[in-house]
Order: sequence, then C-alpha cells, then structure tokens
Amino acid sequence: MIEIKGLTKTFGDRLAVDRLSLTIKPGEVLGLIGQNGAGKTTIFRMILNFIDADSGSIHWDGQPISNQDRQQIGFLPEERGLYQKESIEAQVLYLAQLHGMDKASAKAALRDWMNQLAVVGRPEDKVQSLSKGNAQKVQMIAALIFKPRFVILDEPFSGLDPVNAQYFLKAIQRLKEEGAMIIFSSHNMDNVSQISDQVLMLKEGRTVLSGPVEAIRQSYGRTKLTIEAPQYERKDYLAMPGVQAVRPAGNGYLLDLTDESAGPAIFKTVTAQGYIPVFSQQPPTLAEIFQREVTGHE
Amino acid sequence: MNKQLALVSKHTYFNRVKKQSFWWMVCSPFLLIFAAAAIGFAFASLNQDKTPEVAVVGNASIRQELRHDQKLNLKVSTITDASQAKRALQKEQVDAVLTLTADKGTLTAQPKAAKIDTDALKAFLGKAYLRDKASSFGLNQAQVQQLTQSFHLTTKVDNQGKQQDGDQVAAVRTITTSAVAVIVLLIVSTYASILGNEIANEKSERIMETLLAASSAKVQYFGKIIGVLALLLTQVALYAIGLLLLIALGSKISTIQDLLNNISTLSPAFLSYTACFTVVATALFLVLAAICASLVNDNAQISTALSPITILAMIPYVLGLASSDGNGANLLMKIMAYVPFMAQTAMPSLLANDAANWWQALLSLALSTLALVLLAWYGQKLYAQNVLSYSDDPILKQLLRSLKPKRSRQ
Repeated sequence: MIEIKGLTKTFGDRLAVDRLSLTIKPGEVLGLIGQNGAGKTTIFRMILNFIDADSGSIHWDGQPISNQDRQQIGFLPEERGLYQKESIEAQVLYLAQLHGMDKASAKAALRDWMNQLAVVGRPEDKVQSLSKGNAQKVQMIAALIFKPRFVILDEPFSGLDPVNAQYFLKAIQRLKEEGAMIIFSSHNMDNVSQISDQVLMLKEGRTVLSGPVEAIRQSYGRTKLTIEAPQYERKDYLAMPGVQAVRPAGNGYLLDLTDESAGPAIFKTVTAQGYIPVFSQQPPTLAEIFQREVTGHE
Repeated sequence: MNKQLALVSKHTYFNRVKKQSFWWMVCSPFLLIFAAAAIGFAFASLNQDKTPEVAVVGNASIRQELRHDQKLNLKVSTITDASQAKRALQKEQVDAVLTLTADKGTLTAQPKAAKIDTDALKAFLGKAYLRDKASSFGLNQAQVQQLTQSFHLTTKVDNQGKQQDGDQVAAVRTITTSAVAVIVLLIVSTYASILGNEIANEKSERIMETLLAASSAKVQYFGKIIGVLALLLTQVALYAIGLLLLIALGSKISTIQDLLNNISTLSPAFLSYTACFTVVATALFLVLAAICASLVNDNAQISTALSPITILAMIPYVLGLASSDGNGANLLMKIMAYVPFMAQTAMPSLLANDAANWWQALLSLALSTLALVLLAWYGQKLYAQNVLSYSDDPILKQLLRSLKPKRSRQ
C-alpha cells in the first residue's frame, strides 16, 4: 500500500503542493485531476525522488520508499521520450533490464504487449520510423513490461484517439486485476470515471476533493435532470419550482435543479398527460464537478 | 545498483562502438600516416627525374670532381664558356651557372631551376678549395685530412645501465612532450564531446525521466562516464595491438626499427606515468563534460556548453608546446605541474626535461586523482540537480545557480 501524508513542495514563493495525503491499495486505481500547473506532475516527481519534498512522507507497505522500491515503479512521463535511433526491442529490453527484469523474459513479453496495444511495427523497427501514437504505445510498454507493483502514468491518454485510448484503458484494467497500485493524471474525465476507484482533485496544489468517483458525484445530489417531453418548452421548465437553469440537450432539455427534491414534482407535471420518452435525474458528472470546484463555475 | 551501473555502461559503450564514427576516429591516425606517406612517396617519385643541370665555368679540376660526385645530385653540363653558359641559362637550357674564380664562386640560377642543395655544394667546394690551398703549401693528403678533421663531442644518457645517445634522447623527449600535449588534447576533447553528446542527446529526446525512474541519476552519471572511459581503453588497446604488430615487423623494416629505437630511449617510468595521467586527466574532463552537458536543453547547445572545457584543455596544450624545446625550468610549468587539469601535460614535460623527479610526479598524479574523486562526487550531485531541468537561462548562469547549496538526491 502507498501512503502519502502531508506532502508539501514550494518553488520559491509558489506553493506547488500543499499538505497532500492519499492512500492507494493493491488493485486500486487513483485518478489525479486538476488544471495545468495544479501540482500533479510535481507529486509524481516527488514520489520518484526526482525532486525533494519540503515536508511530508511517502511510505510503501509501511516503510519509507527506498531506491529499491522505486525500481518497481512503472512510470510513463508526461513528456514522451525514447531513443529515436534505437529499435523498439533494444530500448524496451534495456529499460526492462534496468527495472530488474531478465532479458529473455522481457523479449518474450514484448511481442505480447505489442499485440495487446496493437502497435503497428516490428520489434526491430527503429522508434523514429513509428507514428507518434505508436511511439507512445512503446513507451507505455516500457513502463509496464516488467509487471510493476506500482504504476504512475502522467497524462497517459493525451494525444491518443478514442480507439487507442481504449487499448490503454484495457491495459490499466489488466494491471489492476493483477493487483498493481495505479495512480494516473488525466484531463479526460470520461476515462477517469471509467477506470478510477478513487479520484483526487487538485487546485493550485491543494486537494479540493477526494474519494470514490460515485460517492463524490452522489454527494452533489441528483441535480441534473434530462427531460424529453414534446409539449414542454424552455419557458415552461423555467417556471417550475426548483429549476435553476434550462438548456437544450438533444431532443429535450437539461435542467439544473437547486435541490434534488424538486425532481418528483417535475416528474408529476411532465407526465400528467401521459408517456414521455426520457426522464433522467442524475448527479453532476465528474467534468461538471471539476469545472465547479476548480474553475469556480459550470 | 552494480547491475544497473554495468547495464548503463554497456549501453553507452555498445551504442558508440557500433557507430562508424568511432572506427573512423580510431583509424584516422593510421589513415593520416598512410596519406602522408603516400603523398611523400608520390612527391619523391615525381621529383626523381629533376636532377639540376649546372654549367661550371672556370677551375676545370673542380668541374671534373663535380661531374664524378654521386652525393650532390648534380648534372654537370658540357658548357664551359661563360658567354655560352649565360645564353643557355637565359634559354633555360641549364638550371644554373656556377662561376669559379681563384678564391670564390657564384651560383646563378634561372627562375624555374630544379632545387640545388646549396649547403652540400658549399661544403663540397670549401673542401676542394682547402685541399688545393693545402697542396700549394706543400702538405700531403694525410696532413690535409688531419687538419680538416673537426672535434667531435659524443653525449650519452645512462638509462638504468643502458647507454643511449644523449642527443637522440633529448630530441625524442622534446618530440614526446609535444606529442603528449597534442594527444591529450585530442583525447580529452574527443571523449568529452562523446559524453557531452550522449547526455545532450538524452535530454534532447526527453528520455531522462524514463531513465531516472528506472535507475537513478547516480547510476546514469557514473555509468555513462565508465562507458566512455571503456571506449577510450578500447582505442588504447587497439593502438597497443598496432604497436605490437609494429614490433613484430620491426626487424624487417628499417624505418619501423628506427621508430622503435627512438621509443626505447624513453624510460618505462616516463611512459607509464604519462599513460596513467592521460587516463586520470580524461576522467577529470569527462566529469566536467557530464556536468556541463546536464545543463543543456538539446543537442544544439552542446558545443556552447563544452566550450569552457575545450578552452581549459587548450591551456596545458599551449603550455606543453611552448615548453617542448625549453629546459623545463619555466616557473609557470613547475606550478602547473601540480594543478589538476594542467598537470597531465606540464608534468610529463618536466619529466622529459629532467626538471622533476619521480616522487614529484607521483605527488602530482595523486593530486589529480584526489581532484577526480572529489569532482566526481560533487559532479553527480550537480548532474542529479540539473539533468531534469530545462531552462532558457544562459548555461553559465544555470551552473552558478546550481552551485548554491541545496538538498540533492542520490
């Protein structure tokens, strides 16, 4: 288990991370969300010992994290980089060996990973001949091939199309099932919601929200109401008690409620004349919560 | 850690040793020697038929002697008349006209004349005139020979009981001092550049974070230095094999035998000391190169970052060359001989000129080794501090900033 307590870092006068605390258990995925400059990469760099924390502690299974532990961390940095003139195989094997994996096992695992992530290319191809997406996949393989117990992925989905993002999501899911502890940052809230057991939201280095995704959403109440009722117009909804704002959404409207308790009365009104195709009362999405908490408006 | 260190060293070493550029570098001295020999041979071949033709006017006996002399490489024309000789010279039918009178001679050459060895000609004529005069004084040939014999002083150096020609030793040492200065400069600048490019390349390709996550800054830093030093040792080993082949062939080729004889005039202690110091000095410069390269953002900045190292390496080079024909008594050289980064050229120069003894040489080597250990230890902290930072500030400013005390990582 990874336990971070009171981690703080300042750069000059700027507070980059403020008393961060989090826990990741084996088989758990933690999504780290925040605007650019919120401190996500700084947290990763402190865990990896690239920079020193001003205060706070990082423990792995109850012990301060050691250099030997760090060898068991699979890391995908935000800034992608590989030896352009080396072959896929040469550099993946080199990095796997640095992480303590033997060469023969790494060689055998490489083809499997290339198939899993659908890398277009052969192990002997040079990285400079690969597309950006394929190079990113090779880097992901280098981070995961040695079966790390702890995985740090900094913006793993950036630059990937939805199809390739799915390959990454599946790979993360597989690692999770194998018991790895995973922390990742992303701006894509759909991906965060899809695979995270917990999320931690940062604003200027401070933790503004943390916990399981569904619990966080539910804590905001079911204040988002989607209705498709052909006989009702925007002005009709605005006149209803508890409706804060109305905007068109597909064939119907999306209503922002002041309180989820307004839902039953609205349901009664719009179904008074019979069947309506859509009535869905949901908590705000992670993206909406992010906008509200981090940018201060929806 | 040791396994990772070996992996990084091997990776650095094999990446470079597989490149053509490394083999060009190794072979370049041989190619240069071969090219110089080929040019020299071609030049000599082209000049073979150009024996200068000289018309000798006056003193018929000397003309006859000149005609029969084999050493001067002159062809004596059949023209003996002054006016005919002048016309032949103007028409470029002869290369020169040598006019001899009772006690002097004049050599007039045309602009396109083939080269005449005037020193040898002067010596030949001096001897002939002296003989004529001695004869006129009634001296016989044996008396003339005794009179003209010059005093000969032979110098010898006792190298561990082995008697050697002193002039030859001095000449070889002078050449060696210059050669050491040049070789150390070449080695230091070449290998510092290799290491600098290696690190700059990794920073340029943004792979540093991945490498540091897999190992540590310390492993990367020392691994790369060891890998590049292994390259240097490979080059030295290849040259040693080349030398052994030369020795094997030495008995058959006189030029090689001469070269080996010259090398044998240097004491084994001098050669060993110079070799040790070259390795220590290269390691010192490699550490500096690693520190400077950790400050760059990409490959384009590496030559700027390494320029202070090149300048530093040039100082002992210039000193070495300046003192190569001196007697080693230069005070600046004596001070520099104990200063790390300078001593690798200054101390061999003093040793070559017998201006330092072996305990002084060992003290100098010990000081440089101590400097290497301290700089390597401090350098890895600076490397760890800078290798992940990308700044637009000038490199010197970044370096000074990183010299301020900070907590660092291992």
